[in-house]
Amino acid sequence: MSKKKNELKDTREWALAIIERAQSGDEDAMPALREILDRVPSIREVLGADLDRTVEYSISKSLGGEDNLAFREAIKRKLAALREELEGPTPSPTERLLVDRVVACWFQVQEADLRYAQAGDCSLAQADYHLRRQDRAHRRFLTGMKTLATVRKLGLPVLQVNIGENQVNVANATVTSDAE
Amino acid sequence: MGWEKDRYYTRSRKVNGRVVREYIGGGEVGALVAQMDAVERERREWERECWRLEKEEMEAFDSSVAKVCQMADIIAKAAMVAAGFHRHRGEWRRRRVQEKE
Repeated sequence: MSKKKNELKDTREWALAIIERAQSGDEDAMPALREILDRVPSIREVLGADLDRTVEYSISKSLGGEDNLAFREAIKRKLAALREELEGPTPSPTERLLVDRVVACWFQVQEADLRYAQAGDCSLAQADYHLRRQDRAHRRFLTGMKTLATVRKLGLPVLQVNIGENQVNVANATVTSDAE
Repeated sequence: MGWEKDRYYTRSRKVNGRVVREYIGGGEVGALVAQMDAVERERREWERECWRLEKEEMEAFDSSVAKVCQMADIIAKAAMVAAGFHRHRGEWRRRRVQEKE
């Protein structure tokens, strides 16, 4: 697993450098940029496994669902329903990752709210910590929603088809082929 | 908190920034108060430990979500740039394509 995490870290740094180059108009960076997008499903798999464990732990420990199986099931179903609703009928790999993020952030908001409510008779410093955490969670959630909305509004490629060795990206009204 | 010359149990506390020593007493009364203080100290230590563990749990959870957010941002950015957009003053705009002669 640590090998996968290191790969993820390398991918993150490499991707940032490629985006930087592409943004400054370097055409040579474009194939690498497309490769990043091709890697999205595997990135999602690594991140998702990590997140699933954390969410599972959080449900059973902090949200008190260790023995309450009905509660655990209800939370899991709520997360699945939220994911399905946000993904829509034909999500692209990028959209799926963005939806994962929104769902994780939504869950974090709920968890932060509940933790603070459960804290009860806590010290000022602890209350301050909980409040700041709630703020951060809300901000993250809103940013996640905004990014998802922007990606959808700008109508990024929703479908990628590989025909033979040609990779064809199908956007709203344009079709581009890498093999040309 | 402690025993003064093994005869009097004392407590120290701050009053207006100055340390004031309070003499509780000796004998059985002193021993009883010392025991109560020890229990209170233990309770506070236990609470601190619980808070430390809770904070660790919250930080682990937050860091997991932060990783997803960071990666999702990078991928979204890559998708925007690949689709021909660039960021101008915080806003995504389509890059103008100059026709080649």
